[in-house]
Amino acid sequence: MGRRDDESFTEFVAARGTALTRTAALLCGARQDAEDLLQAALEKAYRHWGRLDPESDPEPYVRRILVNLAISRSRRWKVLREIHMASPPEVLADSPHHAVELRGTLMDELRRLGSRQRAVLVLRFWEDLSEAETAQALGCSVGTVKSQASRGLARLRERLGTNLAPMER
Amino acid sequence: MDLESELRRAMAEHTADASAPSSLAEDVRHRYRRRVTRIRTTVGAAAALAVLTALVPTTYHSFRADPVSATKSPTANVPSVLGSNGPAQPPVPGESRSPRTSENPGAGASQHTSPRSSPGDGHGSNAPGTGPIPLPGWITYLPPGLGAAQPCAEQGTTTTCRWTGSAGTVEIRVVRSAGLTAPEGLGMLPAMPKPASVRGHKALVSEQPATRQIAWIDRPGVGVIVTTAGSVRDDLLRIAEGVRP
Repeated sequence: MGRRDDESFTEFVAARGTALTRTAALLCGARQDAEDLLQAALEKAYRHWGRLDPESDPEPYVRRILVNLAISRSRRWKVLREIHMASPPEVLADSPHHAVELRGTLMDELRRLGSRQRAVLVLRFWEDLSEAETAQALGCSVGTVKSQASRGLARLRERLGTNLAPMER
Repeated sequence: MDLESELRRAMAEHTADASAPSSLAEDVRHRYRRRVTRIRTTVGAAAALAVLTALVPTTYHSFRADPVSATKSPTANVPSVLGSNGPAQPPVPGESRSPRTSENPGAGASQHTSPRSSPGDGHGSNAPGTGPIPLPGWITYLPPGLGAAQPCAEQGTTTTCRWTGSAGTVEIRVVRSAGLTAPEGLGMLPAMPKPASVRGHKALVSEQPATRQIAWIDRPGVGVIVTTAGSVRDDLLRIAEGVRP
């Protein structure tokens, strides 16, 4: 079996760097932390890059590192994050910018979720991973993914009030 | 609009202008090299610390006075606790001393060579301008963690040696007097003494809240009082057994 070479790392980062940056921004809840988070995750992946199968896609491996790192960092900095979190803007139902404001509030509420719930929602609805793929990235069971997604969405809905239609199942 | 769709749109809008820098791969390699350097430095420092840690006890033990077993010491130049006509001399650093005058060392005599290795950590503290004060040759054991601020003091017919440190205080006093025949005559601490024995000699032990004291007549006319305070109190008998005036 061959090994991945250093050049393949450069190619991977060039191809998937932006997508991973956006995922990192959503996972850690603060864009300014995303670059450092992604660098840290890629550095971890780089340590073992030569051992990865050159025939397989390295992105799930990198994504898993990214998600776990985001969760562990988020837990460590949870207190500071809550202190610095801005309160959501007031949503006016009849505002012409209602949809925009709603999405802004959604992001704020997404940041307020627990790190694991946030990670599940990002992987499911941003990365469009299946429940099985999400479970693999998080190192948990499919059942946990389902329950975390359900609870996360319920919490978002609760915090946003009744402006949204029920989630289609 | 359902929540999931709104969430997707919200995330897309939030990250629309986010992109990876062109130097990302090189930044990651740089970060990796910094980590490797940091690990190598840490391992090197840990190895150096381990070597130092291994050396410190060796150095420490080389400065400790030998407990009981010691080699023979000459009796010349004794400081004169007993029967000297002139003023008593404090032990000269580096020379083995015994408070005897002309007697043979005999059983139980001081067994230290001269010059002894410098007491160093346990047994000598530096007086200003002088080196560590060695243990007198007639004292064969002192607990670790003690040092002498000055040589043994001679006052008339009494030689007093004192050591202090984190472990406590030890004072050994040798009294010469023709009238000494029993330890009761040595003037111990005011407490109910209990009988004991030091190298077969009848002794008395006095216990106070802070100190313990033992006194015995080593031979007719030579009495010894050992007083301990602090954690070295528990070593009173062992210290006494090591006093060979």
